[in-house]
Amino acid sequence: MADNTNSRHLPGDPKEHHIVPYKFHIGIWVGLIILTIMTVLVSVMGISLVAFSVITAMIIASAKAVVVANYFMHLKYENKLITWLMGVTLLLFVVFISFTAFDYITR
Amino acid sequence: MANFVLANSGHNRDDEASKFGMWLFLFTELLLFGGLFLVYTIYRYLNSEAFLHASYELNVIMGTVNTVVLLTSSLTVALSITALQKGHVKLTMWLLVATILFALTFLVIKYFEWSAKFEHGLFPGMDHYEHLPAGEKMFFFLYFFMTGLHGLHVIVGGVLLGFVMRDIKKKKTTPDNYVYLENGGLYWHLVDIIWIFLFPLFYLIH
Amino acid sequence: MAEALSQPVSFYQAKTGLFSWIFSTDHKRIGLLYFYAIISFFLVAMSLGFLMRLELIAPGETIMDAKTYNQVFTLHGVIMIFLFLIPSVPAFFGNFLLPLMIGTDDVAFPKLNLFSWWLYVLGGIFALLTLVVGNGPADTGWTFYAPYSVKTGTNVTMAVLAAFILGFSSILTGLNFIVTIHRLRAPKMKWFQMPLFAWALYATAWIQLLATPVIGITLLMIIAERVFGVGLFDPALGGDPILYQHLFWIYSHPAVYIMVLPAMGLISEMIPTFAKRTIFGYKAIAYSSLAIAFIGYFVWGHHMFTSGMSGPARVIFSVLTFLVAVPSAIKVFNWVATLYKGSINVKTPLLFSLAFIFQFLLGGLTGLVIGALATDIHLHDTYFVVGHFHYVMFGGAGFAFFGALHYWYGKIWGKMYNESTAQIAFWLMFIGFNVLYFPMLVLGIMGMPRRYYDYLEDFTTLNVVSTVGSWILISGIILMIYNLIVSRKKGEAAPRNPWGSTTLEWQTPSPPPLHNFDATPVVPEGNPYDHKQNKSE
Repeated sequence: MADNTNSRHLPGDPKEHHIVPYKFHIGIWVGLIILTIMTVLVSVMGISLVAFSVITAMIIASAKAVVVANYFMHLKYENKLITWLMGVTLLLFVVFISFTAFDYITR
Repeated sequence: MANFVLANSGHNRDDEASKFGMWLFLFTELLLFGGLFLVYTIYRYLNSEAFLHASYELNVIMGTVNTVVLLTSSLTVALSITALQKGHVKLTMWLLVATILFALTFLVIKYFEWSAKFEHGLFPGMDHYEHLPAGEKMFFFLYFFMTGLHGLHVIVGGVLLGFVMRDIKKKKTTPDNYVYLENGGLYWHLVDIIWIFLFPLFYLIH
Repeated sequence: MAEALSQPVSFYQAKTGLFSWIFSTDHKRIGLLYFYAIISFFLVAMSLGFLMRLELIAPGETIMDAKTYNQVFTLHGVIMIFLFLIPSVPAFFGNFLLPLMIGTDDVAFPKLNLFSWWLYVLGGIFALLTLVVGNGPADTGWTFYAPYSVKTGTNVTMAVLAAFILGFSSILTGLNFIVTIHRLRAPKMKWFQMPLFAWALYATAWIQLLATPVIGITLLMIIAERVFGVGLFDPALGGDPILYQHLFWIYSHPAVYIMVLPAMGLISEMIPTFAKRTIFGYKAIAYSSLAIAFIGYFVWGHHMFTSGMSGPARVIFSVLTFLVAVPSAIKVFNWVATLYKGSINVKTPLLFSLAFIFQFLLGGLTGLVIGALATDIHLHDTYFVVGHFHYVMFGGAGFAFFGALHYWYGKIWGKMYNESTAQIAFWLMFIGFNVLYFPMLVLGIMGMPRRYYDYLEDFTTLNVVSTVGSWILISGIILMIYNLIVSRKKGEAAPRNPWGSTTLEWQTPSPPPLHNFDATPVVPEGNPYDHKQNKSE
């Protein structure tokens, strides 16, 4: 059980650890707060058209999630493989929801 | 002969593998909540009026404050990684303390929200709840189930970060070896992402 | 024999004592821990199956009443699926062989691996506790269909909890294998130089990882329903039971590929060895594993054709179902093409592999019959379905498991099994299996519904035949197990490579040393099944 300290590097691994500056993180946070305020405002003062409200809320939420994943979670600086696999996961999630919804819509 | 070790031994330190494993685990968490989002979508489609009506019972201000709290906690975790990478161990610890305090704040606010619902008798089995139309019952059940499961994840995430802090104190997690902090952070961000979707779905779609 | 002298200390001898096993992080020991647990559960569930067949030897109540029968088939299904089929090949053969095959010394997360085994044990304990706690084991069928599963007085909560924990164990095994295959392959082993079993495990691991969470949350909802009685899936309270079926099959259809894909991987290992030929269509088999895993996510609705799902949805699910036949057929054609003009060495593992091809073919073709919307309406919930999935699951996955047990027996336990006894056991199993399950296909077409302890007089003859088949099959299984136990003591010592195989696990002593290899394994260039390079035999 030799606890080897040599780190293993495979093709696609980031060569060096990317250090994200403090200021950059804070900028991202400001952006996220602005998006939050936007989505609340659309809901509270916005048009009471349900379909429209669902779509805007989901678009803003997805934008926030992408920002958190890309920057806070460093997805942008990781092996591209993880991004691809995340895409597969989300694709399957969309399949689960859309196929099931299709059953209900066409009933 | 007995001590023959392979170059690609599974006992080598491999930060990329640890992070990869954590990401795979997060995929399973996404799909765990995915099942609930599926149920939500279908029942919202079948009971859109009732869901709309019931959603006005929730307190948008408390929801918004909690969203900001969680986003800020995500920021402090992200900053703590930068701090450790730069070798600022003390700052890392303070940022993690802040994160855990934010987690507690989130839970306290959630507690007050749930208590208010309990006072109105909106929990399954309570008086008011039993007299609601079926669609609204569905809404409140899903609300408690999904925010409850999310709250559980907040607690787990906070405990994980607590373990990371212990590791930093014991000098097991250091500026040269911080994959545990990264993984704890990844988990914490996931908790945030789930909330990013729960918040509009329950509080905002009016 | 001279080889035996130069053997390093095997992993069995490296450490001893109970704790060196149950707290071991060595993938080989964990694999064996799984094996002993899995085979015990198999024998329990097999006995339950035996009792069911005994009940059905004559119409009317024979040895048990309706409720007991319901509980017996539920427990038989739950154990066979969650405790035998799903973990059998990945958790036992996968754990033991994957690191050896890709030339490393362990999985990526050894402690997590041990944790999954403990979760498996915990889940198994919960499943067995349903026998003694509360109002007896669940009587819902392994599918736990709502709203009955919410209302029945039997111990559904605990059974569901067991399935939840077992699912968690399965997720962690899958996660471990994916990272292992990505990060720990021997430095010279490229993706398309991996053994096909590793490919099969890789595809399976993605199903374990991405489908299991859905069943996890579904089972939690069932528990919440039983506690709070909200009516999430109860039409009387505004819920929709079909939604439960969607959630259940979103996992459980991909899950049937968790059961059969790794078994196909085992077959892809055994066929080239016993045909002494390079496998035909290596890349096609590798890709077809991924294709089956992927397409498997799109077809769950074919379990629900008679549930009240919408017409267009049924048509689409039926069409998509036919797509799965393509990669499955690719595999079968490639195995047969590998055998063609091969120098066939008829040994027990090959017999099991050939039985697999035959039985999987029958299971697959009957699958098309019930995958087609029109014919399924007639055959749904009849014995045709029972016959179909036993052909795939037992005739396929089960036979591959037992064949592989013979193939790697020497590698795992260091002794060779007795060939002639093994072949007798095989023929008993093969004949018993077909006598047991073929009549079910006919009974189903005649209209005998599944999941009843009773049936019409007209069905008696075939039911008697089927029950007799179960006796032949069980005697075969007992003979096989007896042979394997005796060979453990009396068998000849196994050489490194008894069959003249080409993959890396045969380059190390049998059984392997603690760190798997005594020298850096040599990765063959190009195709991993190149029998022209291998002249040692």
